Parts: sequence; C-alpha cells; structure tokens
Amino acid sequence: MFNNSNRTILLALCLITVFFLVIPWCSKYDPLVISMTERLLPPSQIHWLGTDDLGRDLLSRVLHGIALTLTVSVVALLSSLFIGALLGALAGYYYSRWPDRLFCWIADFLTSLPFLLVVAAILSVVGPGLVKAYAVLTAIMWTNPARIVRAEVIRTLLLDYVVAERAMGAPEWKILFVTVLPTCVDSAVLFSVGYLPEIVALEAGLSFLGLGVQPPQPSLGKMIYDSVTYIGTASWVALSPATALFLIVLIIQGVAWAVGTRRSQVSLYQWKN
Amino acid sequence: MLTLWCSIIIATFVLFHIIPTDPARTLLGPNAPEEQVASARQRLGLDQPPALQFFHFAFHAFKLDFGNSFIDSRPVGLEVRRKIVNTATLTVMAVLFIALYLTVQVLLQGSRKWSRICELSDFLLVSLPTLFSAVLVALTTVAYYPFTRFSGFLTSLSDFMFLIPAAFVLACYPMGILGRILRRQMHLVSGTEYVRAARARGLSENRILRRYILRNSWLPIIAAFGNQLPLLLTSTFIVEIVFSIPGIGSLLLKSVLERDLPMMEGIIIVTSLFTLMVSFALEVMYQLIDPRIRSNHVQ
Repeated sequence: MFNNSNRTILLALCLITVFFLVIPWCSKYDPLVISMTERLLPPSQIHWLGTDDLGRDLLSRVLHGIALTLTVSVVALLSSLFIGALLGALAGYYYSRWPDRLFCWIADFLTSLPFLLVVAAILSVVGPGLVKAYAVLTAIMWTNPARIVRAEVIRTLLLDYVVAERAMGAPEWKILFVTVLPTCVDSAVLFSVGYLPEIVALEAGLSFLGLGVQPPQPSLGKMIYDSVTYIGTASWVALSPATALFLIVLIIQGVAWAVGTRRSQVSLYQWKN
Repeated sequence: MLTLWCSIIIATFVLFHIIPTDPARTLLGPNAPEEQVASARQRLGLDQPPALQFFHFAFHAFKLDFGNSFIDSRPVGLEVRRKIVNTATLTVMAVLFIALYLTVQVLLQGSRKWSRICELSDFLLVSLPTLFSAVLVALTTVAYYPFTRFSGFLTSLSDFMFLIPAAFVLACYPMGILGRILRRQMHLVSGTEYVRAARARGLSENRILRRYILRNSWLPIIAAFGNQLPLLLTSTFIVEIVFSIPGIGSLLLKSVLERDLPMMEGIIIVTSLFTLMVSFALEVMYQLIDPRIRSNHVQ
C-alpha cells in the first residue's frame, strides 16, 4: 500500500510530531501563569524569549503552541487523507454517474471559495473550538487527495488485472477496496504531505482569527494576533511565534524535499488541470 | 458561473437562517426578555415561513442588498462594497509583484548560476507562511518605511504607498509556486521539436524565447494562478489584519467576533462573487492566449 518513500515520509512526520509533543515538558515555566510584574520583558537569561503582555514566558508558550499546531495539522492531514481516499474511490468507481457528478460538484464548490472564508462562516455559526476547527479543516481538505485517488481509480479500473479479477468472480467491493484502492493511495499521500505546510498555515490562520484554539491555551496564530499591537514597541513578542511557525513549515518542507517529493509539488498541477 | 453563485446564496441561507436556532436571540443575547425577542423576530422577518424568507433573501442578495448590520445598523451592501475596493487594490498590487517576479525569472533563465538562485528563492518563498512574512515585513516597515499612515480610503499617493509592503507579503507564496511552474514549463517547452526547428532556422534566441517558449508557457501559469486565487484571498484576510488595512478581512474578523450575521452573509456572497468573476475572466483569458482552445470550441 505504501511504497518506500511514503513510509519514510510518514515515519519522519510522526517522529517530528512526537518530538515536538515531548519537548514542551522540558521548559520550567507554565505557559498559562500570568505575572503582571513581568510584562513585556525583553529576552534575557531568565526568560530566553522574553515575556508577553501578560507576563507569561514566551519560550514555553511557543513550544506548547508548536505542539498543538503540529498535532492538529497532522491529525487533520491523516483524516482528510482517509476520507478523501474513501470518497475518491467511490467517485472513481461510479465514474460519470450521479455519485461522481455529485462528488465533482461538491469538490469544485469547496475549492472555488477562499478556505478561511468558508471555515470562518461555518465556525461562526457552530461556535469556535479546537475540535470543531479540526473537523472543519478536514471537511475542506479532503478534496485534494480525493481528486487524485478518483483519477487513479478511474485509470486503474480499466487495467487488465482488474478485468481478470472480475472475470474470476471477485465481488465488486473487494475489487475496489482490496485490489484497486491500495495502488491508488500512493500519489495522494505524496501530494498531501506536500500540502501539510499549507494546513499548518491554515490552522495558524484560524487561531489568528480567534476561531481555533481558545484563549488560555497557547497557540501560534493567536499569539501573533495578540502581539500585533506591540509590533512597534516589543518586537520579540511577535517575532518568536512567527519564527516558530516558519521553522515548522521549513522542517516539513525539508523532509518532503529530502525524501523526494519533488514530483508531488509538480503533480499538483497535473492533477488539478 | 451563475449556478455556482446561486448555490452559494442557497448555502449561505441554509447556514445562517436554518442552522442557528434563533438569530433574534443571538442578536439580543441570552438574557433578553421574551417579548423583545419576539418583536425583533418580527422586525427581521423571521416569523415568516422559511420558503418566503428564502425568496426575500435571495431576491435582495442578487441586488447585493443584505439589510442592515445587527450591530450598528449600517447597510451591509454599502459597507462591503466600500471595503472590497481596498482588498481588490491590494490583490491587484500583489498580482503586479508576481508578474514582476516572473519576468525577472524569465530574464535570468540564461545562466545556470542564476537559475539555481531562482530555485532557492522559490523554495524559500513557498516555505514562508504568510503570518511569518507579514510579521517580518511589518516590523521592518514600522522601523524604516516612511508611509505608515492609511486614511482608510485610497485617496492619495501615500495611501497606495502604504499598501505596497502588504501587497509584497501577499505575493510571496504565489510567487514561489508560480516561479516553480514557470521554470518547469519553460524547461519542457524548450525541449520540444518546434523550438529546435526554430533554432535550426537561425532565429535569434530572443525571438525564440518570446514567440515560441513564452507563448506556450503562459497557459499553465494562468491556470495555476486560478488555483492560487482562493488561497491568495485567504492570505489577504490575514495580511489586512496585521497591517490594519480596513478591507474585507478586518470586516470579517469584526463581524465574526460580534456575531453580525447579515454582515457575514454579505461578505461571503460578495467575496465569492469576486472570486467567481476573476476565475471567469481567467477562463476567457485562456482563449485569448491560446488560439488552439478557441478552435476546439468552434469544432
């Protein structure tokens, strides 16, 4: 089901996530403890990255924020991959009949709108929250892997070994989910990992708008939003969460690059057009 | 395009009028007395049957009239139209930046060293999350850039100058993506037979680049730009808030925080109309650029 480079990439992603989940416990400050006597301190030996407008230690907030952002993004990636593969396979199987038409219509509808707008609209009605944000993220992101899987399924269903299996009397569901689907997931995985930086940025954007993680919990987007006011006077408050965000994206891009997903970047446009 | 827009109107209606239990209650807060909620419901037309409400809503939505804001009773349509001018200007300036970057890339294609540098800069630009580059550019702007005042309306040159750093931030990600595609496409096209034939006929390199390679590399760029457009608008929201530009993004944030339902409806419908119009324009542009598509339609 997963070829070698896919396995390496997924393993590397899990390792990175686990690493960033463990690291916050090394910091000695509680990210939630407010100390009004230590507001907006510049970086020093006591607070390595300084403190924010409520006197909370920025280093420990940034580390916790990274862990949260990364977890939400990776979980959203995996679940959107799963849902996308399933729906894409069904659409590909019913190619050009009504389930496929419906699928294409919904996918076009979702991709023709700005993400953040749709997400903000839905979340403002159902109310903000971490789990809801993650669910909405998945509900929008599934279209990309689904399209790839659909195209691959359509192509694979015509191949000789599938015809042979049908001739041997295998049930249709078995042909679709056991024979065809596993060979089609590969390129979707490659592509989705190439998309992970965008999911991370989107998650940060959501919490930036106050729709993701709720206030006392530290999150990179929210920290940047809160620090915009101090951009002229206390630049470190804005700079450290922003740099952390950049580093996560850079690491993910680097992993994807190193394992050889160059072609996933290219295939984005092959599949979409 | 019209069908898509109609479905957006329907989806918006379903989202805002059917799912929340009671907009009137949302408007007045949980502690308001029952009679006030009832009168608000009547005033907003919420006591009518849903089908009638829908026709009312759809009819006015087509005229870009969304009623008055829940919070300050200003007409939503006017407010959104006023703000979208800023957002659209910002987007156009970002597109100019992208065009500039791509032109530079084309000019630098000749030498191996420079194309390596282009590759690196593409990688960096793609890796930069908008939030990061926005903060970075905002910090530098505050320190060194002379134009830090924005009057809220595009009236003078300094207002336009104010938008430039924001537009640059907006352009970063698409620049990287499109730069990659441009280089790959030019590489593909320059390997084709007709380019070789043109070279054999002794045409100048300049002419080959302009008439043969570039003309055929255009189309995927435009198509990819169409794909980037929703993302571009998404980052517009963030950039506007960081640079405090009164555009659609800051309006959206405000209305989400205040749960201003008519305002959100207006923003969603107008912005999606804007997106649809641009993608329609791109669709037309394909045919202008590539005569082969036109002839396909005739057949």
